[in-house]
Amino acid sequence: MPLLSGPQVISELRRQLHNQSGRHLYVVLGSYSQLESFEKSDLAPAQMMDGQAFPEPVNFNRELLACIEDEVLRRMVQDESRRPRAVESQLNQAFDQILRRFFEQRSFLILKQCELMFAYKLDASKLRTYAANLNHLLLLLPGRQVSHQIQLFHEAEPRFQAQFPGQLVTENNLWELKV
Amino acid sequence: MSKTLFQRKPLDQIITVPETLISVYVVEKHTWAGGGDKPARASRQAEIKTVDEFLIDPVRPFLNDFFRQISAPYIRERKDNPIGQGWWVQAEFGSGKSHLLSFLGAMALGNEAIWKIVHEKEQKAGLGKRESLYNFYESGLAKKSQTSKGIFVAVKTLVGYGGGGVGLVNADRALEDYVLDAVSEQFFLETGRSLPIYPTQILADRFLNTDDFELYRARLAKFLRNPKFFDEEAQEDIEAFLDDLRNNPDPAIQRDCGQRLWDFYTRDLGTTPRIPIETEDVLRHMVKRLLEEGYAGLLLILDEVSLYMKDRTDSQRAEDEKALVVLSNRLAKMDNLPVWTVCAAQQAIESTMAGVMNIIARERLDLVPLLNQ
Repeated sequence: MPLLSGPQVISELRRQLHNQSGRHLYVVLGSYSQLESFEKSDLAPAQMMDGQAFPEPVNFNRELLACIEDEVLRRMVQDESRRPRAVESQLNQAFDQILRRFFEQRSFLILKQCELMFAYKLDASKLRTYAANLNHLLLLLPGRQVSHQIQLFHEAEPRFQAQFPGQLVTENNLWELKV
Repeated sequence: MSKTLFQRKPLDQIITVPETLISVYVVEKHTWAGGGDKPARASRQAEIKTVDEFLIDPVRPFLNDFFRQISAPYIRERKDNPIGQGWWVQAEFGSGKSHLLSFLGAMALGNEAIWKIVHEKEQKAGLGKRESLYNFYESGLAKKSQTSKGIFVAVKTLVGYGGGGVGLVNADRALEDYVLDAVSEQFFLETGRSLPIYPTQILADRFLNTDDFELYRARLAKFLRNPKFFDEEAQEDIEAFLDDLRNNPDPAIQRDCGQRLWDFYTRDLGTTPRIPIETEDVLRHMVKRLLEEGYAGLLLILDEVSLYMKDRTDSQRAEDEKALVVLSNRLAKMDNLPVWTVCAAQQAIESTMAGVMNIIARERLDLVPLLNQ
């Protein structure tokens, strides 16, 4: 996988967004600061082929918590250590709800701040399921490619690092930002 | 000669193209209507577009075999004539495996309106009753749908699971777990109840319905409050625990409670509960429970099995293959249980994995080389 600059990633992405058939899960890897700069300098002014602006990235962590009612969320926090599977299951349902809701409104979704997805081991295969046909999904993930694996949170201590299932994204839809 | 005599008609006058086309099929989204939303899955509504867009003829020999098996009358005692079967659908990337699987699932739900679509397609093609797939519906599946809850359809796409890499989510889970997940999730959607099929759920169910409840209640209360086993946040009151165990239908809650009971038996009482924990026993129990619930059988659809298997360690893959053999042979053929398993695999990946071929046989998973027929 080649290391690309922000404008190069946008250019690749614009080309891919044109496709209306097939799978469209894209991943941009980089450090937190690289991703922040990419979001501000490259994504914000980016336009699609038809001149429309790229949608604003959605904060996944915030959306996930927002789509769970306050009372339910309070109970989940209380029960987490006693009912871990139930909490994971509820978060997975909320995850599904987010993807379903956004793709009912738009065909291109950008997700950033996805830490809860990995902290709670949510079912990442949903990303691939939804990002197909007319739907395009871009993930901004803090991570890097090591050999053929996608290592997430590489700047953190090893115990907080995770691996993104490489099968979910094709090689030509995966980009790592150049330092 | 007139110029117009040789003028070709524009393409749009020769063929019709639908406004939208599903280019990527996903069994979770395209077996049931509404993109596989909860109401459609709960009410067993099949996706019409999946059937509309499907080309039957290129795979008719396989479809004949599949629908013959699932529509055949089930006689528990006739172990010499089992109706259960497994299939291993193998083809190149992009050849329509997931569409085929979604079609099988949609048709197996047994909705009459969906079958009428197939009937009309076959009538247009001039097929007689004996050659038609619709015949399987009329002569068997329709009755199964009327006299029982119909065939229980559970699906799972295995991409993104299974890798043996350190740090990869759920890498330690086995194929058996994904099968249980798929069945448990669909059963909860259809009935609003939890089907006790995981060993921990079976234990929870048994605990409430045997002498163990009265015998161990006080000791369990102490265990749940014991700081030796649980930190402060994880400790709980016996009444809250029992309330969840008795009244909460969420399968995940039942599993959490069952896990606590399992820990109670093994860590506090120092015994191992006598419940099915071996793959064969667990899967047999699962199918039998579905039959007791009034279903005519289980159709299990597993997509992208080769991608899943690719990154498994040898021992993990051996366990996964064992689960497939249990479903397609031990349960379907030896026990004569109405369970049909359809796995899809990519040919290119398949050729790099020597071991997988051990599960291919008519008595196990029958090989279906798609588009080669």
